[in-house]
Amino acid sequence: MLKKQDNLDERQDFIRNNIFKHAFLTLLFSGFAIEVMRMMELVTEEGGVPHLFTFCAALSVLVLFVEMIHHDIYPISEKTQRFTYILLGVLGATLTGLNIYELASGEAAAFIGGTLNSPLFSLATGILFLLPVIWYTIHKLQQKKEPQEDA
Amino acid sequence: MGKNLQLKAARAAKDMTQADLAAAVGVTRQTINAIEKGDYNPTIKLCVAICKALGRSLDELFWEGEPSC
Repeated sequence: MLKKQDNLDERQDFIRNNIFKHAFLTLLFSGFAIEVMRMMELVTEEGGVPHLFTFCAALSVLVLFVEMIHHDIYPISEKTQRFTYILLGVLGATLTGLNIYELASGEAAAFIGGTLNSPLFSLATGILFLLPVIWYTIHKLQQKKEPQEDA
Repeated sequence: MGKNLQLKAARAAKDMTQADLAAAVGVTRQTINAIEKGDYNPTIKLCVAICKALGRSLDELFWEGEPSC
């Protein structure tokens, strides 16, 4: 049989390699964008550059997950995969909720002295964690509607 | 790359669905669909596996235009 141990066939393997490339490029370019933002003084070290790097990592993971979901390529089993997305969703919702609360209550500010501040990046990271869950749910619903034989 | 109608016809002649053929050669249904639509160029290994599953030659299923001699 052509199937490998990780249950991916040759087409999926080929697409997965491209997805890893896209995720790596996302990480590279978003890291570069942070450096530019720092040079332009849009963001400061105290204002959350480390949070911004976390956001970049989350962005790369998002590209990885969304593309894998889109192409029906899962590096993990169906059961573990569902658990992973639920866990991501819970983490994302918690992070988003906490940061919205902090910003809304005035405990933290999105901007300090004209520069972007860390709660804003944490909020964006939380939303990024939520996106694969939303994408996965939509994709699964679409698959249920699709006929088993494509034209 | 155009649609692979030979493959689709051979599969239909054997009364197999895309899922049946996919299971027979050990790939996903989406991969068989992509080959039939001309969206994916399979390796020779997969071509041979498909030919064996459908009882056809490589020429019959994957040669575009007139079969070679």
